[in-house]
Amino acid sequence: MIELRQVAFAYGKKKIFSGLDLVLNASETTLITGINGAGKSTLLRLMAGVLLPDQGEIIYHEALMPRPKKWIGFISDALSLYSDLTVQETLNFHQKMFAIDEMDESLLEHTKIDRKQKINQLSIGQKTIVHFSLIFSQRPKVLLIDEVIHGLDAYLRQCVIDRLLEFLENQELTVVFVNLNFHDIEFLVDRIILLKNGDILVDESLDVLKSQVRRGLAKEAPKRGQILWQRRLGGETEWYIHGEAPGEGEGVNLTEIVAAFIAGEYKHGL
Amino acid sequence: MEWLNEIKVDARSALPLLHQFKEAFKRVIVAGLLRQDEKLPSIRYLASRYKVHPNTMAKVYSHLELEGFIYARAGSGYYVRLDPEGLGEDKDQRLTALCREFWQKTRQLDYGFDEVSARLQEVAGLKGEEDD
Repeated sequence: MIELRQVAFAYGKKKIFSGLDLVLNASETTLITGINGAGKSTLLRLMAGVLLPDQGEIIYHEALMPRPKKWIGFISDALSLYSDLTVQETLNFHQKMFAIDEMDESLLEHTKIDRKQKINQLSIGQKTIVHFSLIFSQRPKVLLIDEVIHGLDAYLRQCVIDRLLEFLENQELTVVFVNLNFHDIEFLVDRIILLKNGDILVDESLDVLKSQVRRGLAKEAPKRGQILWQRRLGGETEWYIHGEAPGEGEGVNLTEIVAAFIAGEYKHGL
Repeated sequence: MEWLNEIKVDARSALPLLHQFKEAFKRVIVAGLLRQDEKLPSIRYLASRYKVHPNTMAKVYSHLELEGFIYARAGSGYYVRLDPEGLGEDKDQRLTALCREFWQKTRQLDYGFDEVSARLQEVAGLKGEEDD
């Protein structure tokens, strides 16, 4: 759906990407994670077309043309949209701008947000709900979600994830989550991308990754696969290895996998 | 639907989610926790309950259908199939699936084929214990 070719981007003198290649496939759900400052949110903004690359190109699938912004829903934590308008005025404005037949107000109804309130008077969680309502109303083909889900309380998070699941069931949607925490979306994602200093450290399907990373506790780590991380715990060594047939040890969940990869990077120096 | 509590997946398993769900459903069906023609929960419900992509859940059901454990009624959902007479061609696939599951589990116990086969004959009443 979206392809980045040799994309370079810098904020002033601060280089974020230099020659990044990445293809987002249709209907795939991807999690982009990594160390703070690795470029995750910048990458999402480039995909969304909010930022333009200094070099290289970003190619949108013809299904998103001629107006990618209509089909790409981008939900960020820096939500400043329409701050002086009321919720209702915001809905009306958005409806006109994207020529939407009927707005999706299910989330607003579940959460009882007062439509006469101004956007800048809403809590962060309420703003996120309004933003999701606007984006779902657009019937996006691509949804880019930047770190907002875990700023929501448990009920609002449930509402948003359920609405997203309903959407995924009824139509094709490519989703990218940028997250540091992902315990309640880990069964939703197909693909994991781990960024480090603007480079892709890991880009793998979740199923493959889970079959390749194992951990165990022993006198010393086994001599097979690549040791991602090991630490001494109570006289023994806990190890995490990554390899095609890692053999002994036990499986690990996504959080543990990502932690092991990141731990290795801290050790090598960031 | 107390049996749904038996449908569990492990986030730490090296096996894909699709596989884990499929095997969990087969287990409860084979264990007799469901009645013939019992309606199964919707894909929508399961996706929400487990926070799983609906496409994964849809694949779970379509694989189970292919293996003869459940059947679909157009526009209405999926139902349990216990009656082997109604299975037709699926009967053979189901036997293969059951044997595979059985064999994988016995392998975990580290028995060889001959021991497992002898025990199966015993369980089926084809061989007395004195023959051991």
